[in-house]
Amino acid sequence: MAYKFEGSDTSGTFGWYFQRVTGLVLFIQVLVHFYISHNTWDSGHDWATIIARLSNPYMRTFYLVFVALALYHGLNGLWSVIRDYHMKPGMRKAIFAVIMVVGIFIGVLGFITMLTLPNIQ
Amino acid sequence: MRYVKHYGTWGYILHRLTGLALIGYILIHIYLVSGLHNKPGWQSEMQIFRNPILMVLEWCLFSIVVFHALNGIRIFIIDYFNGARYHKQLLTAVLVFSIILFAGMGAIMFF
Repeated sequence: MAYKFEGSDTSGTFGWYFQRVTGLVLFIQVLVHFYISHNTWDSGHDWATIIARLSNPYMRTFYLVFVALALYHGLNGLWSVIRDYHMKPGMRKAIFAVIMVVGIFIGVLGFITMLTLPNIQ
Repeated sequence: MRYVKHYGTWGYILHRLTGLALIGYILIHIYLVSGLHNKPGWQSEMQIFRNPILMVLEWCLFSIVVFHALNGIRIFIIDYFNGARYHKQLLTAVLVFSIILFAGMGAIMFF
């Protein structure tokens, strides 16, 4: 591929490695997520059922981790697909900035959702 | 960019395409779930998911997740367990398991 990568030999290694680590964790999390939240129609769509489930602090912690890892893994994957295409440096920075802004916005939104939902004991 | 379309490359191409679909879905999904703060709005919104067309789309989403997850395991095997020697057989296994799980989920959802 004809583009110059501004970085040392090892830059990017962490991203490569962490993509595999997060992938493995997400594999387990997505199984749990499907099992608990789409077992019945109500478990995935009924407000009271969802709120009752999310009143459990362990469940909320699970979803905070899930949101963070899924966004990291997904946006890092998106960025590595985009990086395969030749871009001008300005374009490269602009796309990276858009990905970061979208990721932070949706990540904060997800965290706020999880942390401020009503608790039903 | 052009991709060489050998059998094993399809794993690479499909992993990318399903990954792109999934990040798009996740962004929308997290945004929509923030609607839990509005109980009446949430309840009327969720009635949409009784529509069979959306159920079929959810079924397709499941198949995308399953393929991406299983192929992710395949990538893990290739990277850490010398799977490059048998990555084509692994891709066949991934596809076979994906189709079995897709059919199984269809049976659970629609029968």
